[in-house]
Order: sequence, then structure tokens, then C-alpha cells
Amino acid sequence: MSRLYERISTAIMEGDADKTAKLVQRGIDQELAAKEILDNAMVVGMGEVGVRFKAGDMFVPEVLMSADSMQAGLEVLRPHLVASGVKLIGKILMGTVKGDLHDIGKNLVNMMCEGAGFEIVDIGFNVDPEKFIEAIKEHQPDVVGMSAMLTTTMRAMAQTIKAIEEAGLRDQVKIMVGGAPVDAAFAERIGADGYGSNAPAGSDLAKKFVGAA
Amino acid sequence: MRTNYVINSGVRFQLLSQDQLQEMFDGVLHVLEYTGLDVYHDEAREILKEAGAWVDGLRVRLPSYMVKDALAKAPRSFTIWARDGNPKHNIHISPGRAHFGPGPTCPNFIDIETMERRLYVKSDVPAVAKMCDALPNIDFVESLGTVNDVHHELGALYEFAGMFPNTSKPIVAWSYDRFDSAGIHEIAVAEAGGQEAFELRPNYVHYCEPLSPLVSTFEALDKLIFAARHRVPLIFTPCPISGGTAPITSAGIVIQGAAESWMGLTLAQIIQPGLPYFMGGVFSAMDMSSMILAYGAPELPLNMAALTELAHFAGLPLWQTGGCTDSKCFDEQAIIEGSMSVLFSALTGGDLCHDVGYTESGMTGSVFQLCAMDEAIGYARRITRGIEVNEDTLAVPVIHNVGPNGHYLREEHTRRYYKNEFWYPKLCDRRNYEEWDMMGKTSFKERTAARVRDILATHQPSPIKPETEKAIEKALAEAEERVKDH
Amino acid sequence: MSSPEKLPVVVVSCQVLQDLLTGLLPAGLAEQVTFMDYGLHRVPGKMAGTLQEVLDDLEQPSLVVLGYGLCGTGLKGLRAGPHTLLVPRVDDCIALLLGSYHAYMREFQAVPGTYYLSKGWLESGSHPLKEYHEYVPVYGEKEAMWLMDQQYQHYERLVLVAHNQADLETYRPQAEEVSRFCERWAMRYEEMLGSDQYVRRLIELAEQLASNGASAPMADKDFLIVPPGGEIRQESFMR
Repeated sequence: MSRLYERISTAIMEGDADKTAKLVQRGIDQELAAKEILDNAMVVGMGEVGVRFKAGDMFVPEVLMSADSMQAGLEVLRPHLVASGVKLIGKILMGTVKGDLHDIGKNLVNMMCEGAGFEIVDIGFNVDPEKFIEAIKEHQPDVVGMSAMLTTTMRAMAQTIKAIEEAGLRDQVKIMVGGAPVDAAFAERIGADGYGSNAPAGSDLAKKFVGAA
Repeated sequence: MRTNYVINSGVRFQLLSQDQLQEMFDGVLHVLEYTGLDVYHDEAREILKEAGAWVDGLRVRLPSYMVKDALAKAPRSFTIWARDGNPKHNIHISPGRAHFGPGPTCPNFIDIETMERRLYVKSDVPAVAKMCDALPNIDFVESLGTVNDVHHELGALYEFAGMFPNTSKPIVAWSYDRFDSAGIHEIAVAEAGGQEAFELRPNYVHYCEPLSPLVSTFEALDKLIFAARHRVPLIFTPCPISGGTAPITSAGIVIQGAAESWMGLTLAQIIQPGLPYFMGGVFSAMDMSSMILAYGAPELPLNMAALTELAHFAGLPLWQTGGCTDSKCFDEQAIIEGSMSVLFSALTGGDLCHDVGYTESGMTGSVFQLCAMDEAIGYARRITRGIEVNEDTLAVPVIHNVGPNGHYLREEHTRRYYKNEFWYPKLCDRRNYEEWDMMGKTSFKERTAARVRDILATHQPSPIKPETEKAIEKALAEAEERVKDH
Repeated sequence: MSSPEKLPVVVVSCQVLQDLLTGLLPAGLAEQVTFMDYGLHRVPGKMAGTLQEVLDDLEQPSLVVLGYGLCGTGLKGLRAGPHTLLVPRVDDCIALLLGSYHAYMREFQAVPGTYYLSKGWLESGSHPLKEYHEYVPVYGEKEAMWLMDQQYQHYERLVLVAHNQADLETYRPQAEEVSRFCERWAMRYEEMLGSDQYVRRLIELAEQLASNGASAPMADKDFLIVPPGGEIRQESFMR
């Protein structure tokens, strides 16, 4: 059993989408719990990718391919997650802040959170503070996740949080931030509720916010 | 309702432009970031380092974002509360309000009976406190001396212990070290009803002084740390001397002194975010012929005005200096020098202006000077109150009714305003010659002396609680025990 | 005690600025000029360490002129040690190529999805077409194109920045080749004449600091001066 998990993990790290999908299907055929495959194999694999990327041992193309593999695995897993009665634990609104076009990281977090049982509302990239506010009002999420990849745009996170405060919505949501130049100290300074250093950390944090971890 | 109409409330005075202030502000940040200060306190250096300062041996440099953070945290407005709850004695620190009080540590005192100069002793303390309590234009209290007849390490504590029961106006306390600070604090907390109650309504302010140029001494920081930890509003200000321990130019001395103050500010805000904190000090010229720090020089009010504007620009209240003189006696020089600096301080809105009553360049404290300056402060306050312009004060219909050759004395309008519109002196005499002759031809000096003695004979400050009296006894006993072998 | 000491000047810069700096540095100003590989910012966690080694190898306390910006937090944690560091207060080299922080913000706010090409980047660096060619042998054409799409599909504009008309004309053919490749993402091609103003001021300030020694002129908002014992902080780059 754990050997299969290892192989799935490795397939994700190698960026082999087909293999990942096949192995996940095998796990399902072997009647392994969908949630366990997700948590013990897929999330673990993607987590390792994040660590290696930060250390400079893996690069963007490899990360992209791993993410793609994770996605392929999720597609196989999804109907089984639903069928197994994994309830929605909350709603998360995700966006890359104003001026920033990078969404790879955000998309990864989406994947992780979806797997964890969140309903994802993705408002895309280059999102104005006003648009965040509209989306919060419309979708009433539990958690708001903001991403930025540039030091130039991470300041927009502070502005967005301030705008959310001024709109009187700050108490309704938990705000988490992430992205390459972001760190815990920055998150604290701008008044975010938390910081995720990689996609699994982000999804864990979101789970904590809704009391599911 | 009028819109888009600008009102000047009070008299406006501006020494420096916004651009000049910005340049000075940047200069202070640069000194802190690039030159830094020597910080002689291990724990302080640790705290600063932990928070992001660059520490190199004794030398501490602060990256400018740390200083800006500290400035953002320090409050511009807050209240220092009268120990007895008398709202008239509360001090509301906020933009546009200037307060006045004496200073500490003069070795000598002008004897109240004889008007002779002699050493300052313990029994002078209650008299000074009572005077401050009674004088309407004095807002806070200091001892005007250093007690000479107690153990040399306990002067500060005895002064506080002597002042506290004799005034309910807030005291600005100083101390030799944090043991003193602790003793003083125990007394204040007893009256407040506990540390928590004190934090909600602090009833005294702690003064500490670093060294110029650019040295944060062990004692100053030790006391700062004590005060910060106990949430005591803090004054951390130097006494740099132009041409001696600071640049000779006004702009230079102002930014150096501000840097010395903001090192303490940064440390204090790390320990206790939001702690009420004053910058300022005594920034005067070194008289190059007599080699003294000149308390009566025009450079003093000028530098202090610049410093006030810089403080307010940065969002901090200011510890001003004024009402003081280099004169050795209670004479015309004392009045000129004192009044000039008082007026300037009122004009700039120096939040707490101290050393009112200092004579002989700070070597001798005088309640006569204090009392005379009370008058000058009243005068200055009338000026800075300004002029109100509205339909009623323009008096156009009144002018019309009185008409050419008329008289305003019987007008209802005149009756309505005369009490507030004019300032009525207590010491300046306006009688005509014959009356004044008949009343004894008194001089200002004589009337001041009479007022001093009258106040001391009749004024009753509100009493302290019995538990505070016990706290005072305890603090003094413990202190005596602590130093008995020193 | 207060007489100025002369500091030797050392330049440590990203290769992307090689051309500009080499052209503008007065002869004899810098004792040592080192150009580092352009891609250090890709693993920002390691960049400071790499630069720290260069600084630590210097034999005497120097004025180190860093031809970098914050570069995605790459400079964070770089310690001055006995040296004085002079760094442009910018997020990355684009501001230096365009000539001012103002120009950088103007362009950034107008078209955030812009990929900048410069002489230095075209020659020694990388660009989408080059990346694609590097991926193909490893991943195959289809995968390689997918990877490129993932990274570049949101970009709107490809800009060639040069510092004179002659350079624009020389590098235009290469830039246009890249731009034809980028058409698949509807990236439009533009050319901009950058200004050497920022780099000039960097050098002027370095000259002043070097001759003034221990007492620096006041730092201004465009430059960060880190004194000996200091450390580069991310917050210092927030304007």
C-alpha cells in the first residue's frame, strides 16, 4: 500500500502525468480511500517539489509538469472523493494581486485546497482590490488567498487588505498570503492572518482557518 | 453653513517649511542608519538587534524602516491624569496645546523668606509643589532643585515623595537609576490603585536623559526600559550644547538631538508598542566667553521651535524648554529672557515646556521666577488664543447702532464679551499713578513675592490616599536600606 | 577622527548591466569589477550567499557598488561586513535599464505583463525563444510548447530596451525573431530607448562616497547605503 503511495509521489515529482493518472486509478481499483491517496501520496509528492524548487534543485518547467501530473491524478480522483462523501469544508477565494500575472503557484494551491475539500473560487491574476471586494461580497468565502510573485506587486497585498478593511469585510474572512518574495514577517506587517511557504502549507493553513485541521 | 472657508484657530506660527522639515527628518534617519549611536546597555542592544538593528560592538545603527515603524506606533495624543481625578489638572497632550512647568536638579534655591541664594533642601520640595498646584498657568510639576540633605543617591526619590502629596497636577519625575524609578513608581501606582489602573490612567511621566553626542548611556536606557515595561509615559531627551557636544548650527543640533531621542524611541516602542513618548530637550548655545549653557539665549527658543516643528512633523509630542534665565537675581533680565522663551513655546505649541523658574543658567531654582512666569504664560496664552472672526464678533450691527461719536461701554455686546476678550493680569499693575502711589508704589518684584507668600500660606492641595502615604514610607525606608553602605 | 578616508571601489554587478557599466565607469575608479551570471535571481534564496562569497573575498574594506536591485528578494540578507554597500533602491534591473524608478512604475502600471529584452539579456541571458529551444530536446516539442504556454500566456508585450538608436537597430532582428515566437500569445512588440541616468547617478554617488570615505552624503530615495556592520533588508526597498 505504501509502496503505491511512494510510486505516485515519485510520478508527480518526475512530472509524469500519464503515470500518475494510471497509478492513482490502480489505487482506486485496489479500493484505497480516495482521501488517503490524496493526502499520503499526491500532497506529499507536490510538497517535496515545492521544497526542492525553493532550494534551487528543481526549476519552473519541472514544477509545471509536476503540477500537471497532480492535476491528472486529481481528475481521476475527483468523482471518488465526491462519492466517498468528503464534505466541503469551506470556500476559498484565490487571486493573484494587482499588477501580477503569475498564477502557477496560485493554481497549485487551488489544487491542494480542492483536494482538501474546499470549494475554490479563482478570480484570476492581476486582480484589483475592488475586484477582491466584489468577489468577497458575492461569494462569501471563508478564506481569501492572495498571491504575488514580484517584490513590486507584493505591496498590492497590503493595499488589498486595507481596502477589504475599509469595506468593512475584514472580520468576515481569514486572509492568507503567499508567493516567492513573501515571508511570515511581511504577512504579519501587512495584517494578514497567515502565510504559506508552499502549496501544501497554504492548504494546511486554510484548513486550520476553517477548523478542519 | 459656510463651506470651503478656512479658519485659523489660535495664532499660527511656522518657522520651517514642509520641505525643510522633510529634509531634517531625512537627516535624522540618515544619522541613525549610517552613523548610529553607541549604546552602553547589553540588554538594550540585544532587544534592538533582535528587532532588526545592525549592531557592531557598542555601535547600533537603525535601518530607517525601524525608526519609521516606531514613529508610527508612538501616539501623538494622550492624557496624563491628575492623581485625584480633578479634570482641571489633567494634561491633554494633543496638537495645538502648550503646557508649562518647572524643572529639576538645580543645586541652589532662592529662599522664600530672605530671597537669598542657598543650597536646596528637602523641605523646599513641598513648597515648590504647592506653588505649582496653585498657579493657574502651571500644568505639571518638578522640584526646581536637587535635595542636598539626603543621601546623594536618593535625591530623586525624596523629591517625588515630597511633591506627590502636595500637588495633584502630574509630576515629571527623574531618577538616578531604575531602583529610584521603581520606588517612585510604587508611590504612583499606590495612588492609582494598582498597575493596571495606572496603565489606563498614568499619573506621572518619567524623564531620562541620554548623552550628547550620540551616546545612549547605561543609566538612561536602564530607566527607559523600566518605564517602558511599566507603561510609564516617557521623556527621553538630551541636552546638547551647540559648538560643544553638538554641531554649532541650529539645523545640525536639532537633527543630532532628534537622533539621540529616536534611538530611545525605537527601543521603547519595541518593548511597549504605543507607549506615550516625548522627544525634545534643552538645545541651547554655549556662550563662548563664559563657557556656560545659556538658558536665556535667543538660540534656545529658536532651536526649540525648530525641534517642536520637527517633532510634530514626525508625529511626536515635544518636551520644550522655556521660562528660564541666566540672570543671577530676580530682575529685568530674568523677565525678558523668561518671557521670550515662554511666548515662543506657546506659539509653537510645545507640548510640555519645562524649566520655568530656572535661574542662573539652571543652577538656582526660584519660585519667584516661577510665579512671574505664570503671569507671562497667561499673557502668552491670551495671544495664542487668537482672534475669533464670526458674524457676532465682527459686530457690524453694533457698529451701526453706536454710530459716529458713540460709546460702546453700555452695549450688551461689550458686556457679553469683556470677561473673555481681555486678559486680566494678576501681577502686572495697570492702576493710575495716584492709586498706585497710595497702594504703596509696589514693584512687580514686590507683588510677585507677596503672591508667592500668600499662595504658600493659603493654598491647600488635595490629599493623597492613606495607602499612598504608607507606600511613600515604605519606598523611602527600602531605599535608605539599599544605599546605607554606599 | 573626522578626516575622510578614501575607500577603494569595487563593482559587483549582474551581467545584464555589463554593457552600461563598462561604458560609463571612469577609468581608474574601480579596483575590481566583477560581473556575475545573469540568472542568480532564479533561486533567490541562494543569490545573497553567492554574492556574500565575493564580498568576503575582498581584502580591504571597500565601497561595494552592487549592480542589482532587490531582485525578487535575492539581495536580502547580504551582509556588509567591513564594507559599505551602495545599491540602487529598485526591485529589479528594469528600472536601471529604463533610467528611473518613475519610468519603471509608469511602464509597470500601464502594462504589467511585459517581458523586457536588452542587449545584455539577448546576448548572455535568456528569453522565451531560447528557453523553448532548451526544453525541446528534454521534453519534446509538444510538452515544451505547453511549458512555454504555462509561463507566458498572460504576457501582453515584448519590449526591446536599448540605449541608443544604433543598438536598437543592431539588436532589432534578434528581438523580432523572439517576438515572432511570442505572437502565439498575442504579445505585441515595442521598442524603447532607455536612459543611462540611473546608472550614471550610481557611479557619481560611488565617486562621492569613495573620496569622502567614512562620512556619506545623505542617502536619497533612489539609493540604499548600507554602512559597515549592516545587512540588506527587504523593507529598505519599500519606497
